Amino acid sequence: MSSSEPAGPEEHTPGRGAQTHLATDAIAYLLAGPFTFGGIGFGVDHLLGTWFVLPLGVLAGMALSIYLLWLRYGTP
Amino acid sequence: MTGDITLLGYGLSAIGPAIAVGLIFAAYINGVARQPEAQKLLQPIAILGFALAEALAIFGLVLFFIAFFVG
Amino acid sequence: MSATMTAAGTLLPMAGEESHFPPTPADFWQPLFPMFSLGETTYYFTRPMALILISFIVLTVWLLVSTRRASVVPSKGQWFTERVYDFVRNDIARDMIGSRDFLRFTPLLFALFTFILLNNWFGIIPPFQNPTMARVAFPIALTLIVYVVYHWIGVQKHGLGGYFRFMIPPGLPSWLVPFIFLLELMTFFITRPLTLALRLFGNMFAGHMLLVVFIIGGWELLVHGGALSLVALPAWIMGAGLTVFEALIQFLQAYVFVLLAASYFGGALADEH
Repeated sequence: MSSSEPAGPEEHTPGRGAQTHLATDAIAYLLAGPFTFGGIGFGVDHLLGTWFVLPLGVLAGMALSIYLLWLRYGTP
Repeated sequence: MTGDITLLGYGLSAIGPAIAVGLIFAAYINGVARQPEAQKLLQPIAILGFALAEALAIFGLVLFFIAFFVG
Repeated sequence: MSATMTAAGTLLPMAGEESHFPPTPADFWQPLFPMFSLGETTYYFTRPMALILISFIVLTVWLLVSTRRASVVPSKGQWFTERVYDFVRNDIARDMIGSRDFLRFTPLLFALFTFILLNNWFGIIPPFQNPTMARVAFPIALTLIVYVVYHWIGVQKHGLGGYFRFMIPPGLPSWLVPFIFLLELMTFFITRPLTLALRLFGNMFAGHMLLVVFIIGGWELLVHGGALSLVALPAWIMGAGLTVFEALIQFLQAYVFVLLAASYFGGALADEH
């Protein structure tokens, strides 16, 4: 509390925050894809009376999620 | 005792990906501990493997929701 | 009468009453007394609400008393408070956010950490024995605070347009951009805070359920089990062991929640990469 570091610009150490939430973000991305596009597929199915758009949406959403993860964290 | 069997199904189907994710990160940590300079090389592979294994668990979750609410 | 019976009856089923044995999620709703009614619905003052008030009072008194006469050579109480504060300040906030901006988030992170930790530990401290975070509304409320803060500082740092441009990773074929943008929006605004809240809720809920199964299950075996009543003792030993394990999990979940909140702040403040 009373201890205060000199906060000069050369003393700045960046936080590890951006790397740390990688692992939990991976799950957030993987959940977002199938649920978003599966939800859209469910809506389309409901409107048009078809049945195949929902599974298609789930698969496409998962593919997009994995592609995005690869793009963000997989490419060095 | 009543309930929905899809819940049980999802619980069972989550075992496989759970073991897979554990194995992938165990191997990753092992590799980085032995050769810290290999981290840049190993991280994309580990993340991709994790995503592919976790995808199966999430398919299970989605199928549970579909079976629960739609079918 | 029935309200207090539910509160006491969940953990101590009376012999002769109907069995509580497979405990259900409904057992976690423990009203103490009705507060007010709106239309058809009556709103109750529940046990988690009482616990959250108690935790608020305990934390306030602890911090006021232990820092009232702060001195350079600390007393025992002040030393303990400083240890907890140092842990949050140095090991969580400075590591995650970076040494330039971390000081302005430390009070929020410290408050979140002590609040969640005490409320989690209420799950195993004898007179309370109900983790507040096992009702999903409480983690959601805490997550909302974190949510507003990390979006706010992100927009402040990058500007509104820059914040949204930040979401699209470079090197994307242009026909995929709308889909990826939708996906990123869902991730940033829905699934990421959802996983943060549900991780805390799920751990507290399932952990408490496990303890209830072993302890009430032991009681049921003893009373109605016949020959199986011998198994009650191992069940209770298992329950005691799991209680220790739960204490660890409850600390870990408070730590993880605050660590992730700090890492989201750090990520929102990070320079473009």
